[in-house]
Amino acid sequence: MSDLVVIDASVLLAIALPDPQANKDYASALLFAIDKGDVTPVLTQLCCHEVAAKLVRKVRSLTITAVKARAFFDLLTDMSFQHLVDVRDFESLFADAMALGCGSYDAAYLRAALDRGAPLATLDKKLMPHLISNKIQRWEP
Amino acid sequence: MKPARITQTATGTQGRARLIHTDQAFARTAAGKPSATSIVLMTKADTQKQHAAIAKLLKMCQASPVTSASRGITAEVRRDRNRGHV
Repeated sequence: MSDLVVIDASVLLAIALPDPQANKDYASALLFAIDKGDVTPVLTQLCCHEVAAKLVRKVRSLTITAVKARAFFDLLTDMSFQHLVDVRDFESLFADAMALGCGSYDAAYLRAALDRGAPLATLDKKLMPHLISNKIQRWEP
Repeated sequence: MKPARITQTATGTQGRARLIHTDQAFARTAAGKPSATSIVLMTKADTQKQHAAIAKLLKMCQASPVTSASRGITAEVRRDRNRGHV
């Protein structure tokens, strides 16, 4: 049985870009779990935008090459994902962030996890208190 | 409210993973009415291709430099979110 896990952009970006070893180990563990069939990864639109935006900036600042960025996207295209397309209006997004007690970007990830009844795979320590207060589990290897 | 379950093929991506509309999520409004929050799509990739892709992603992960926490990409992601993604 494969469990849904919502993926934060920080985890995908830690695969391709410099980060502490512990974060790379976490991202690797998630990839292993997907490969074993234990995890079905869930992507939000925000996650895709954050990953694309960060790689645009890294390529423009010559941190990585465009070839490497495209290779990364090509590999992600060969993976199965569940995609959540957010269809809420402005007021709903505002009200949800207020209710969840966090910023709107953080709320997008929390809402995805709550709606799918799934844990969130994240490396962002600032998100952790919001996971606890909203009774959302962090994915652990 | 039980989410609607629909299976419908959408666009293909370069002949590889395809998006399939599978589900919808709902929340109740203040007035108690169910309101759609998201549409769920699924990309289904070939198992062998996914296995090969994950092996290459793991290599990429090991090959990219290790940094201190403050200089890593995770810290950058948080700074961007706090600034509103300028």
